[in-house]
Amino acid sequence: MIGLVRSELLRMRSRRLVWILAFLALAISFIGVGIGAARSHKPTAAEVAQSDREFSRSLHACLKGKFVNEARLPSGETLETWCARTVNRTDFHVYSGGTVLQVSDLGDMLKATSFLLIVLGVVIGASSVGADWQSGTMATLLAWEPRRVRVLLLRVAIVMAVIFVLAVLLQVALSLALLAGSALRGDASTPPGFLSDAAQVVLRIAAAAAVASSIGVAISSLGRSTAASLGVIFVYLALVESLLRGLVPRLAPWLLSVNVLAVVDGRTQFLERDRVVTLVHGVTTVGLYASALVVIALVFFRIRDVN
Amino acid sequence: MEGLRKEYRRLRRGTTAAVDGLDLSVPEGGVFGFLGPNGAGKTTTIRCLLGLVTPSAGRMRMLAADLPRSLPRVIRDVGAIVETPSMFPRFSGRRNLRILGRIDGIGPRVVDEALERVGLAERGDDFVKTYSLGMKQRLGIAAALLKDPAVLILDEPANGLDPAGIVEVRELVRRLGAEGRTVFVSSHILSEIQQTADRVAILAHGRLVKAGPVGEVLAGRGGEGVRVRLRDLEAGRQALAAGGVEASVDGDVLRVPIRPAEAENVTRLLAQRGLFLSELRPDEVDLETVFLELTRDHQQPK
Repeated sequence: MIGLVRSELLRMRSRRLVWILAFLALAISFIGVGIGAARSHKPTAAEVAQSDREFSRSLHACLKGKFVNEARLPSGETLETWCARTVNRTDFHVYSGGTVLQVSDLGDMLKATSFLLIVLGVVIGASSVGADWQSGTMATLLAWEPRRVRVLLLRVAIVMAVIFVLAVLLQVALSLALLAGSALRGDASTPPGFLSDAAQVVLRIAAAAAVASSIGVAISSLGRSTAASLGVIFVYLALVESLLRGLVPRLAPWLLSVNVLAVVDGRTQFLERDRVVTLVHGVTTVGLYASALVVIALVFFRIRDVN
Repeated sequence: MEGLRKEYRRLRRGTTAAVDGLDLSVPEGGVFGFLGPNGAGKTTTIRCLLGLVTPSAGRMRMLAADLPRSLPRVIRDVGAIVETPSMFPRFSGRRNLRILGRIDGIGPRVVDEALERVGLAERGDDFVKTYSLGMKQRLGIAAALLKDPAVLILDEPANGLDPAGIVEVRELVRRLGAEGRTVFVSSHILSEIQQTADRVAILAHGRLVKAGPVGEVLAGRGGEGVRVRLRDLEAGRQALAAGGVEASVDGDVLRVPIRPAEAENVTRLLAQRGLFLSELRPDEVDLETVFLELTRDHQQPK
């Protein structure tokens, strides 16, 4: 078992695709932050005073019940706690004279780039099995380790672990780049609980990317081809889910993309006709879908011939 | 293996049996040749042994273990290549072997030794996609040897090799058999098997046609005799007949049914009539002749 784990790790480490995609993600992040920093400037005292005034005005309005009907607040929440959570000082650091790079935007920035990491997870996951079928090495591998369930389960576990770590590292790199850019040419002030919130976002996105990679492994194992499985996944997400959302709206809370969004965002998603998808719902649904696909892939991998 | 059968269901052609009730016993130690024309079911049989395909019926045992149930218990002692060995084309040969070796805790030194043994030490760090077919075969053999296995299953190991490579593989197979390993070699190149194997099994259309020691399989096929080549074959035949030796014209040679040790009778009788031969050699039957004879009339099963 340990031998197979070590073999799988060496294999993952040797795969150029992993390094190329990781490098691309890193490059895109750095270029984005670099452009932002180039267009940014340190806010002037007048700009800070102006944004503080805007913040006070909004908080006051919120506490007067102008932003939300007190009767419709989630249970256990008061107007004070809701406003303190919703109306953040850093949200009003929107300065005139161009965009100012702000560390406080990190959470939103990570969420916006999470799509890249999820795609990275799916592609690396799918290719990790597809490459074996394409090059015929699955037969070679099974001639060394014939316990197929063990082979595929370990593959799923290793790919998920690698993608999780990679996603965390890439997000940390992006965070550090943003911190450096903001400190040099923007606003490095952070709201209370910033680090904890950012860490939660990083972990949620890394988990989503890891689960996406397991879906990539499962579909690729069923289809025995990287390209075909990626095609199936993207056609499903782009076409089937869009159609389902439009034609059968009651299915919207059960769509993969909606639930992944809930996981990444970490907040309840409000859909049409008062339907909601909470974080717990999102985590459970995505986990169930991924587990079901992996189980189906395991069953077929176990019984199908390897020719 | 007993009654091994593997059926494939095809949408248009119905069910076809790639292996059709194969009974085969391979003794421990030595080289066992597994012969058959393309499509005879050799590779399917090997895939069944390695658990890559599930047999439709039959029983298999290897190293005292029931297959495929107990395969994980004995796989450590089995090295195999199936058809053209498949490796990651964008990894080096050495990297491919290291990835496989790690499964069984085999270190880089053993990998280097295996590469050395098959003559790939110099090219070990090159991408496999730059290898010739022969080099890929040798890399596959190196992979099979990594585990220092008691049983070696080689599916067409000489495929794609140049003459020098074929000789190398032949010698390697002989050496491995002589070391006491059981080497199970499938091939359709009969001369290779004849030169390396102690025992053979001949397969046609998924069925066993003949099995046994090479000498036994050849025995009774073609018989003893000598072939004589001379200018006037008919005059030669008559000269031998006059001396009490029956001979027959077969193409451009005379076939004389006597033991090679008695060949001096032939030369004497011919010389007495002023006929001089240009060639005289034992009329040996080779495996190729036997193979063609055995498989020629073997009908495709319905």
